[in-house]
Amino acid sequence: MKSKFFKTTFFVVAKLFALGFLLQSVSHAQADIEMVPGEILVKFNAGADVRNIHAANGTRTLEVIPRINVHVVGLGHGVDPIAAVERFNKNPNVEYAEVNGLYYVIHTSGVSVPNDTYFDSDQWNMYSINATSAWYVTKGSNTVKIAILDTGIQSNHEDLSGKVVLSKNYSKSRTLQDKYGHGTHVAGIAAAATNNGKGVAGVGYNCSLMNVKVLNDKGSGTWSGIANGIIWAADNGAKVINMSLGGYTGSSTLENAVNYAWGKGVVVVAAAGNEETNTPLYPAYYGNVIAVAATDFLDELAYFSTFGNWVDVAAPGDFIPSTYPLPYPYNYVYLSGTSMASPHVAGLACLLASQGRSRDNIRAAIENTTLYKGSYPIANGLIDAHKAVDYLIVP
Amino acid sequence: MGFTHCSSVTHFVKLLIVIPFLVGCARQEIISAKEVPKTLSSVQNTEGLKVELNLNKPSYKLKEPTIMILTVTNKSKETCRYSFRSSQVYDFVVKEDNKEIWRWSADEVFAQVITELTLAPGKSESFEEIWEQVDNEGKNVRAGKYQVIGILATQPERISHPVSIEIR
Repeated sequence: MKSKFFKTTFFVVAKLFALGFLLQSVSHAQADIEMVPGEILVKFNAGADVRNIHAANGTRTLEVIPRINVHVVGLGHGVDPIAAVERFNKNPNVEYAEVNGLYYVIHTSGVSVPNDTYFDSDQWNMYSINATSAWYVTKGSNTVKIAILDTGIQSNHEDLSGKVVLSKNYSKSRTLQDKYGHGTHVAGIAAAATNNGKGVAGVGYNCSLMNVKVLNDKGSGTWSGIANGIIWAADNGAKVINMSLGGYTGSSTLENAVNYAWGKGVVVVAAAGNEETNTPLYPAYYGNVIAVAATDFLDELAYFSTFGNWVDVAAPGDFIPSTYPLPYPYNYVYLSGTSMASPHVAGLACLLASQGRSRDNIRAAIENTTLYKGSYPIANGLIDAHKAVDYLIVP
Repeated sequence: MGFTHCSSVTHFVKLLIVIPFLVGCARQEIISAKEVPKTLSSVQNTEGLKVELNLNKPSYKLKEPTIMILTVTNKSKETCRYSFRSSQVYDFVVKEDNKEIWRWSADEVFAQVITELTLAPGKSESFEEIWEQVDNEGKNVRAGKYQVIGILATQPERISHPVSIEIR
């Protein structure tokens, strides 16, 4: 185990890097628009003798765009489209003419840095996954819900206020509140109130939360409770389910519940475990679950993390700051575990869902854009929120 | 992964002596005869930690619940911190002819967060669960002799001596 002293030292270094990154980043949007050579778009007036006009100009109609009746006009070899547009626009039988532009993806680069109190000073994890660049592209939608299947969420926490839109208790605890101090932390990483001038930022920024309490006040639960929680979340509009929990024996009931949610288009994310080995942990091990390993602030695999080719991606999980259910001044703490890594992926899944993507496109965007792939003993690398939100959108 | 850290009170020492902490708590203690109490409990001293299992009875009727209490006590002169891989701090196992037939954690899931238990010198912590006389498949067990052990789920695990019970 690394000593706290070294951790603190590295943490300061990580912060300095983060600051340097900020100073160098300048926001800009760049659009590349070019013309299709040898083509222009022409809308002729009703009743115009198109054939005659073509004959006079040495042009021809390549296709007609239906409904709006616009002709894609082919020009002679070497004819400048801009000159052709000017000539056609002077013709009284032409309503308008314009070049046929080539549209490229508009590359967005820049950063959106939220004003949360501990963001710049403590949240190294958000810089590790390029969250500020991702938020420049999308901040997520409050209509998209992440179900946190956990020990409950302290919904009146100052930095989770208004975030929890639905709650359900499948644990043996009498309260929906978090008496153990886990679910509130996980919820904050996924989607704490962000850019609200206090506390921490959540990866899911504007995304909403569902508090599905499946673990009791000692932090444990049963397969049946979790299966119930998964089904309830899927039936009540969750687009993403986060499970920072696991057990060493599989359960058909649990796998059936996961498959039910997956079949309803829900993205299911779970912690890979803290075993330091490749031991399977359930539900993370199931095919329809994105299994998440943990990295530290050097972007290395965390010393405790489970690994193996069944683990899909990694996300920060060592020494992660987030919301905590004790009264001030302890309502923000650092915790470590793949429990902390999983909600980074869930928050990102919510940003991606907010872009109108399908379940499969969300998973592909997360898994196909990772950083340092091949450096970790897992299937992919460290999630890159920026590249993921820029990944080709398939609704 | 260091799972046990013990320290004396000064912060200076805390900061500088990291590896010696492990040595401090790795001190083996011989179980003394007078510390082994009643027939129902089991005591083991390793690394300055007393691991004790108490059952409510020595023999049970079929399907009668067995109440198991695991108590760990820091017998060293230093405050000790015990690390766990998840929210699971303890476990209970029932064996028949030295073969495991039931494990409390088998049907449980845990929060995947690194946790710690801190015990000041002489302080104890107790954990209680009930065995409903079923095996890991949920089937009721037969009458016979069984052994119960309690486990503090550190790495490596701190395991109590078995307590033998009879189901009639």
